[in-house]
Amino acid sequence: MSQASVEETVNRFRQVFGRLQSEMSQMIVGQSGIIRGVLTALLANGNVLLEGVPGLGKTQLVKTLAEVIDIDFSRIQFTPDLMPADIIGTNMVLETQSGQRTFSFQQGPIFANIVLADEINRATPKTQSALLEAMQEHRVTVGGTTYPLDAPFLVLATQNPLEMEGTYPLPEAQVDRFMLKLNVPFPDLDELTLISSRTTGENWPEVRQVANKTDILDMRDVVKAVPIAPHVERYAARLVLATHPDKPQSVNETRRYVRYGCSPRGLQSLVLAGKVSALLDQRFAVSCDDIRRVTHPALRHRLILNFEGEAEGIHPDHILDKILDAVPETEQAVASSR
Amino acid sequence: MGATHLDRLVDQMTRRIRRVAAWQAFLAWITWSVVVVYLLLLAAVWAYPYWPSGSTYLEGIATLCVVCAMLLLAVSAMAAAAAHRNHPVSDDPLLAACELDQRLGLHDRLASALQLRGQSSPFVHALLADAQRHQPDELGERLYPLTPPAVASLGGVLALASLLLLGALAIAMPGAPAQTLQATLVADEKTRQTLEAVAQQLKKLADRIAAQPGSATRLQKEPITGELRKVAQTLQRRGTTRKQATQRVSQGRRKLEGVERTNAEKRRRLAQDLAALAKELGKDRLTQEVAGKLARGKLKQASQGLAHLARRITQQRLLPAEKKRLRKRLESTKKQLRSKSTKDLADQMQQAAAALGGARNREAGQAMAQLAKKLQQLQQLVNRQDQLGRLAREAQVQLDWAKVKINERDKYTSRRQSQDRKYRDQNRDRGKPVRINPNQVRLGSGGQQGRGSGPSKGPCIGCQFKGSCAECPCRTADKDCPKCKKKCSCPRCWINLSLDRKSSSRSRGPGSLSMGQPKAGHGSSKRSGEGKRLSSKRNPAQLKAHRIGQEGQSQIMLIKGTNDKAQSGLEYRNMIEKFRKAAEERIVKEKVPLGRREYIKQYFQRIKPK
Repeated sequence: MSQASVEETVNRFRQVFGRLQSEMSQMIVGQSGIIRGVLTALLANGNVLLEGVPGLGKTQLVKTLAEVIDIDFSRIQFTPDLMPADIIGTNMVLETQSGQRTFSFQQGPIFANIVLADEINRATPKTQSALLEAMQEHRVTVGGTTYPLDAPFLVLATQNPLEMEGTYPLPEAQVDRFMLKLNVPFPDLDELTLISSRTTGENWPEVRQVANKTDILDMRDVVKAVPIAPHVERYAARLVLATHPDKPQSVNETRRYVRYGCSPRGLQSLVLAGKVSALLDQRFAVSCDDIRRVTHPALRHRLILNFEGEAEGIHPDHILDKILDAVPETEQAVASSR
Repeated sequence: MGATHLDRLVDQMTRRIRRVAAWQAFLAWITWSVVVVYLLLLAAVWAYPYWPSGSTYLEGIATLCVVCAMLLLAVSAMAAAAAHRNHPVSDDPLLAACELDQRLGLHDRLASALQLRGQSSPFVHALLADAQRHQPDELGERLYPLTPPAVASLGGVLALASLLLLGALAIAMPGAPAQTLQATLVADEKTRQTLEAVAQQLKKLADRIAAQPGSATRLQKEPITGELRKVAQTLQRRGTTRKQATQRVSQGRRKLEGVERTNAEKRRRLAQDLAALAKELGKDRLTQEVAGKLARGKLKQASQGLAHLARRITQQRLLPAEKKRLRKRLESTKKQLRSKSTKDLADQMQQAAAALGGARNREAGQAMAQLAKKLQQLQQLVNRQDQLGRLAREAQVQLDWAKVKINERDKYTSRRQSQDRKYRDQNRDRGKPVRINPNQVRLGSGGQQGRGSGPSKGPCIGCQFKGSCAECPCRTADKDCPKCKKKCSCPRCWINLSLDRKSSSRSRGPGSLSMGQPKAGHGSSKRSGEGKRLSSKRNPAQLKAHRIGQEGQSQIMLIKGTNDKAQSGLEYRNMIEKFRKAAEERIVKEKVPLGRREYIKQYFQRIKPK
């Protein structure tokens, strides 16, 4: 690949991304940051956890994403009595015409390109754990047989932060498998007005397909090819280390309010999301600004607060702000500032 | 490609960063030095009243300026050396590239290109081309300007404040003595009073010396008295500083020392002549008795002896051999007399010797009688010299005393300090003053006087008014002083008020200062009000002073203390701490709904010992 073709590839990446974003904006009013985050996770081969109060369009967002890409989409409404087999699928006994009985695997809703796990925290941890293998390795195992999932595979989970009764907080292992956690904000006055006018009239907005599965897979390859300079990589690693209260890079807020910091998956998420951000900015390498831009969605759900932090209502974003303020971009600046 | 250009840019940037960092370090050093010098200056100005007496503000400020300038020079040199040797920036090109990226808004294009240029990825090639497109042609100084550190403005403000302070002091008090402004105004008056008192003392001394009876006449005492009067006039002159007064007194003392020294020299020569006279006359049996008197300093008796000898010569009762010996003795003695005061004596001896040699007994007798008279006059001279010497020494002692008196620093005392001193003096005979929290003092209303009556004797705390002190705000908190119209709001007056009950018009409670007084009520003699033990319930109570025939509410003081049976809170605190830690550990391990955690936290906060 030559230099010109690289630039052409990056331009095409941006064009496709822009088309996806604008088409989704036809259906989803406002929420441009959420749309960008979901597309980033899709192109970086990650999963997204959407958190927001009911009625903000989370489910509609995921449906729209499936429509504009024209890929398989399935929706799972998580309930307390949902079983793992309801998600993954199960072996069923089938009788042939000759009267012979055989086991046949009946695929569950997980076998799709985009899976919407709606209100994921309403299912039991046992059911939630059914997603672990699929989210990380993009395959499921049933009865000793492993079934690969079709690429691209993306799990979009939603959860409601208000209703805590009868819910099961996500296990840390599963939370860690989400590349980004996006907080869906409440729309402002203009957006609310626009939502009202769009959804209560005769003409329901329609979206069209602007990309296909191949485009997404190609864009994923482009993302992986983006280089990252060592000093930027070390900056991202120092950010992750700063979230651990027992590390020397930690800040005061971390030591006071955090029980466990981010895992190495957090660093991977930072770098991958940073690569997408660099491409969208028409740059060919990841910068520290890209890392900073994606720090909050990539790390906020990986910080586990201690009792004091939760009792005082400390938000992980506050701690991440302090970390971003305290960690310098270069290590020499660290030496001179100490 | 632009790798070479990028290297050159980074190299330029590195050097620029080094230079700017060194300058900033230097400026920071200078700034902190200015702060330190300013603090030293303030300390010096504050300590000015304690400087050696006699110096003025102008002299002190000049000294301060010199010291500050030297300090600044020294610190600047140190700052330059330190900034040159120990600036905080290293030579890493990555740092320079990052700085360039940040200042040009390139999002790590240059730094990434610098680090990834060795790789052969197509993306890296595109990255290098992108960096080349965005890198500037030349690195202008505007890209990385020399900005002073944040503390530099503080240094500038303090330096300006120092200059203003010095200038204001120099303009306002060029000749003022080395004191603060307020102290100077007070000290000027005190200086004048002191110098006036010293001058009066010196004048009195001069008059006493002039009027003192003795051998010395007023004219002969004039060098001493005149000098004393001149010194006194100088001290009385308006505007004379302590330093000038001290110099003038020292000058007068030196003059009096000269007078005494001259007088002592004459006296010493005279004594030498008289000793030589006594020695020569003592060699002959005829004049041995006179010589003995002379040797003992009894000139009058020696004169009488010579007069007797003169009569014997006139009456021709001396043998020729004795006359001859006497003549030789007189001639040899005459040669021993060298001082001016004994010149007449020598002349008379010459005449007597000549008359004895010519056998002119009558003439020789007259000459010997004259010699006796001269010797008697010499006695007066000795007495006069002794008196002048004594007076000169006395005057010197007085001038020394005057010098001590002038240089005795009248330490400035503020009104508050004088009030403190007065308060201490007033309470000295009452024992150690007791500090009472005014918030815990309850003044009873109405009631009969416990004891004591009449106005207090202290002056007003606001204006030192010593008039009708019963209306002074120091003694009545609700009335104005008739002179200064100030109300008493000082807690010290409250203390006075609570302690000086024996002289105030308010009622007295048990335990107040009423012991032994004519109208004392029942109660403890302790001033702190522990006359009756309060109940352990710590409820505010109002006690009544019982007095024979009369009752009334009284002042009590509530002492809040721990009940005797109360237990220590240490064990409870330790227990709470222990259980709090256990609870936190448990809460961390278990899933507690978020909504409940706040209640748990509040629970532990409420049972937390205060």
